[in-house]
Amino acid sequence: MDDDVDCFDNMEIRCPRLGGPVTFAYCLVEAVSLPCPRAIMCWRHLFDVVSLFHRRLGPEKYRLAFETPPQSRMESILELIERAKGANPKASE
Amino acid sequence: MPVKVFLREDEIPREWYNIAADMPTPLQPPLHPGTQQPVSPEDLAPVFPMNLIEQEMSVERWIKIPDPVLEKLLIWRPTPLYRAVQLEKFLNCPVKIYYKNEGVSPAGSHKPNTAIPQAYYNKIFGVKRIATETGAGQWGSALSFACSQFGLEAKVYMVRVSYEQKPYRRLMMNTWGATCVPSPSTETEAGKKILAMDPNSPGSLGIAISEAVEDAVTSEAHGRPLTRYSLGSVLNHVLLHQTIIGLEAQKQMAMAGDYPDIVIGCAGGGSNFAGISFPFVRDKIAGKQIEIIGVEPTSCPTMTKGPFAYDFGDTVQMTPLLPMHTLGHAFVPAPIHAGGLRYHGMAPLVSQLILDGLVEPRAVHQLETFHAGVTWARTEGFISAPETNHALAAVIQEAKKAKEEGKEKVILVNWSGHGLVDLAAYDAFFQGKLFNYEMPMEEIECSLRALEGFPKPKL
Repeated sequence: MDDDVDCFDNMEIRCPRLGGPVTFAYCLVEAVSLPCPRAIMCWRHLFDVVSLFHRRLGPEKYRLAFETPPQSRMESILELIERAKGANPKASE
Repeated sequence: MPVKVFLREDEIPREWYNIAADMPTPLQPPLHPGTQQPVSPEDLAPVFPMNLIEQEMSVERWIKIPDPVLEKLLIWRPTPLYRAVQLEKFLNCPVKIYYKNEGVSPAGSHKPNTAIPQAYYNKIFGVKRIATETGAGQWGSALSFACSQFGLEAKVYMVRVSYEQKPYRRLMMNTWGATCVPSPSTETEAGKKILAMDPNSPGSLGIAISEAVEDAVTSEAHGRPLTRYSLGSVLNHVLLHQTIIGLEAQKQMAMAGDYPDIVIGCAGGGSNFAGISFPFVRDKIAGKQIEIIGVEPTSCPTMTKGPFAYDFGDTVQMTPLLPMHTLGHAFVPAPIHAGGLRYHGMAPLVSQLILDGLVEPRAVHQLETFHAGVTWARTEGFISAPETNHALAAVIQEAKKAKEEGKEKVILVNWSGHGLVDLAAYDAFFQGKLFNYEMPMEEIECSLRALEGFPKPKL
């Protein structure tokens, strides 16, 4: 399986979110421990990325990465506010 | 036949158009992920000034543009409406093509249309410093310019992989006085956490957003000037500010004696598409016959090679195995039915208009977009931003369609920015690096290993 990944790691594509070239290796970890939610859409015509992700991620991570409805930007911001409050030195005083 | 239609400065629109007032299906308020209750202004107060929060939640149809904002917008607005005469001649189709040139702004794109009012509203709220994230740097440079106009500090967290690839955008930010750091950085807890896991992390938009939000929320505690966060797309108030594009275009189209049959914009986060289209969506809601097309990237192959094999027809592998050319020229990508994938990151207002049938989403292959951009550059002369090329590809599609159908059409497109700091993308296109249509056999074999064990279809 890792052989599969190695084959594709250095392939490049233009990332529609960043507006610049990225490698498949980047897409694999775009969401830190998960692939970019767009990765299937971007790569599926170049190789069988769906099967690769299924095997690499396992069912639970695959579900989290691709089958969980994405948060809206507003929801993300609200969650980040809460998280950032935890990083606020005043919050722990 | 004039090539350019100008508005006088005193004809600049004095109000933004808020489509929330006219939505056939009003947007449901977002829910707070912690409480599952509708978001309140207080929930957003740690990151946005209250005047912008009010705009975000407003359903007033028209919102006055403050005079100090108009004064700054007049640096480059009203932008000219062009008739794409040279492209029309080249295409030889029964169409009139008009384009709104948003590339004339100081930052070279439509982004300052919202950066300026956001900087202004922060300023009058007492904010001294704005933090934001940027990918390729288009938004970061626009906000840096806007902050310099209002005497605010700007802090930009730029995704590291772009920071290293795109020095010119970073230098634009520096020139306007902003501080731009690669994300993940050591300046926030979010950044430090990522770097602890992977010191060579290339970053991502998600990480950069985390850093910018944390910067704003913790600014006072860290002794920094009062800081708020700013976003260049997706949110309602951002789309509102962009409607000045379409409002100007309506006046200019009237001066040209035309009205568009088709309005086209590229639809990444939705802001430039909303800018050109929302005033025309209003007309459509009122009964006008008009097609409104939002164009997004896709990855449909058109002429690759590969064997006929069984594969799943959907991303979640719930469908039976389907025989298809998984890499072949006859490959038809199955619809990705997880709607969130397709519209991930798109503005809720735009998504709702799609669901209501007022806007048609269209996906265009990246290679086709660069072909369109090159055609545009070799006819109209301007070199477009790669994102803008998506809209141009749809313009060419519609022109050819008009010819096939023997119908005369008027097309209006938002030329949302120039590509003079994105020439590396054109270089990659010219060198055939963007998409490898002639994939080496070893890569094809590598991809097909993923299909091993699947039954083979009978031919």
